[in-house]
Amino acid sequence: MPDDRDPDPDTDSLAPSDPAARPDPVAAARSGCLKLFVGFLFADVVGFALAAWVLIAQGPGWLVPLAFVGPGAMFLLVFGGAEIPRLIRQAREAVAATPSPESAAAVAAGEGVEAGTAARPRTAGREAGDAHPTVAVADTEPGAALAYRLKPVGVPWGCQFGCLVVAALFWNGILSTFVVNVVRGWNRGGLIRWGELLFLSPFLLVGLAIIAAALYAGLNWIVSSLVGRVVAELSDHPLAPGAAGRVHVAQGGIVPLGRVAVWLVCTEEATYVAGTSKSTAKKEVEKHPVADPEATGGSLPLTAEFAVPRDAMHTFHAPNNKIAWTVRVTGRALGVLPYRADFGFTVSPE
Amino acid sequence: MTDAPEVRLELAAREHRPRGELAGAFVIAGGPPDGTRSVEFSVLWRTSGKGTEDIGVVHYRAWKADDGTLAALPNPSTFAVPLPPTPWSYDGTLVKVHWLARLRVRWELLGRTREVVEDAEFTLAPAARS
Repeated sequence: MPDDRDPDPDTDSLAPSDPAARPDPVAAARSGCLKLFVGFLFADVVGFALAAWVLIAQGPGWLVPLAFVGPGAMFLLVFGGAEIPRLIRQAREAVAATPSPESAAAVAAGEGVEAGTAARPRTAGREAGDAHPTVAVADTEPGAALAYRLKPVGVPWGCQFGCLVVAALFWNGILSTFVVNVVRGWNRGGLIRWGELLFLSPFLLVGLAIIAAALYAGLNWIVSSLVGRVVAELSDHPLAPGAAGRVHVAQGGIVPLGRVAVWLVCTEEATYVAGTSKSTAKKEVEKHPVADPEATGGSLPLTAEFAVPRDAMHTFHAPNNKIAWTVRVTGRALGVLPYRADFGFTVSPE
Repeated sequence: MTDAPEVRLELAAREHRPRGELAGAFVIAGGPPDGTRSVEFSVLWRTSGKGTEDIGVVHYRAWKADDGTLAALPNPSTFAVPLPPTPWSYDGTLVKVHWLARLRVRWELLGRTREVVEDAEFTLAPAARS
C-alpha cells in the first residue's frame, strides 16, 4: 500500500495553475456584472431624461412612467436576456475555481504550518511558527509583591460613561423633537393619538435604556474612582492546567474595599457578522473561587493560593473565536457600592 | 462516470494526545473519476458555534491535474501526520474547536465543477480533558 509518510515537498501543488492557460473566471464574472450594472444605470438615466422631457412637453400622463421604466426594461430584455445566463455560468465557474478553505489557509502560512483565515493573532513574546500560535500570552508587568502584575481587561468605566452620555444626548435629543410635537398636538386637540404613541414607544424605550446604562456606568465610574487603582499579581505566568500559584490583590484609593472575593473566570467570545456590522457575544463558562471574604476577612491587601483546574481549557485566540481567562476581583465600597474588575492572564497548554 | 466517486477516509484512532500522530488511510473507489481536477488531503482544526468560523491547517497536500501530480496519487493512500500541541478539542457554549482529517475531490462533468468532501473527526486533548 503506498504511503505518503515521507515529507515530499509538494509545494508546487500549492501554487495556482498557469494563469495564461485559462481565463480567470472570477475576473470574467466581475467584468460581466460591471457591464450589466453600468448599462442598466445608463438606461435608467435615459429613462429619467425621457420622463422629464415628457413632463416638460406636457405629454400624456400615462407616458411618464412608460418613458421612465421603458429604457431599463428594454435593456434587460435585449442585453440581459443574452448576458444574464452567461453571467450565471461565469459565477458558477468562479465558485468552482475558488480555492478550497484548506488550500487558502495552507497557502497563507505554508504547508504544515498552522494558518488562519485571517491575520494571525498577536502573541506577545512569541515568534511566528511557535508551537502555540493560537495561545495568546497576556501582557504583564513586573509586580511589587509577586512576579507578574496583570493588566485590567475591558473598557474603563469612565470611557463607558462618556460614550453612553454622548449616545443618550444624541438619541434622546433627536427623539425629543418628535415627542414635543406629539405632546403639543395632544394639548391642542385634547386627544391622545394612540398610533403616534405606539410608533414612538420603542424609540422611547431605547432612549430610557441608554440613560439607564449611562447611570449604571456612571455609578461604577464613581465607585472605581473612590476605590482607586486595584492591582492583581501572580507568582507564575502563564499557568498550565493543574498548576498552583499565588495571587496578590491590593488597592491604592481612599475608600477601602470590603468583602473582597477573588475568582478565576473563563469566558468564551464569539465574533459574528449580523447584517452589515460585527458583533461579539460573551459568555462566562467557568468561575472558580480563589479567595472567599468569609475566610480571608475580605479586606485588602490579600494573598491567596490557588490551582488552575486540571481539566481547564487553555487560552485560545483565533480571529473570531476566543477563550479567555481572567482573575476577577469583586468587593463593596462604603459597605454597599458594588465593585468589579477583571485582570487577564493566560492558561497555557503546558 | 456520472455519479460522485465513493470516497472513504478512515482513522486508526479517534482520540489523540497533543504532539501525537494521526494515522489513517483514504481511498477513492475505482480511482479518481474522469475529469478530476484535484484531490486534496488536509488535517485541520476549525471552530463552530456562534462566531464566524476560524480554520487552521496543520497538514495539506494536493494532487492536481494541472501540474501533473494527480497521476502520482497513491490510491489507496495511508498517512501519518504529526499533530501540534494546540488547540485542544473543545466543546463550549459559544465556541467549539473540532479537529478533522478532510479529503476533497473536485472533478469536471459536462462543463461544471463538482466536488465531494469526506471528513473524519477526531479529538486532540491531554489525558486530563479526555
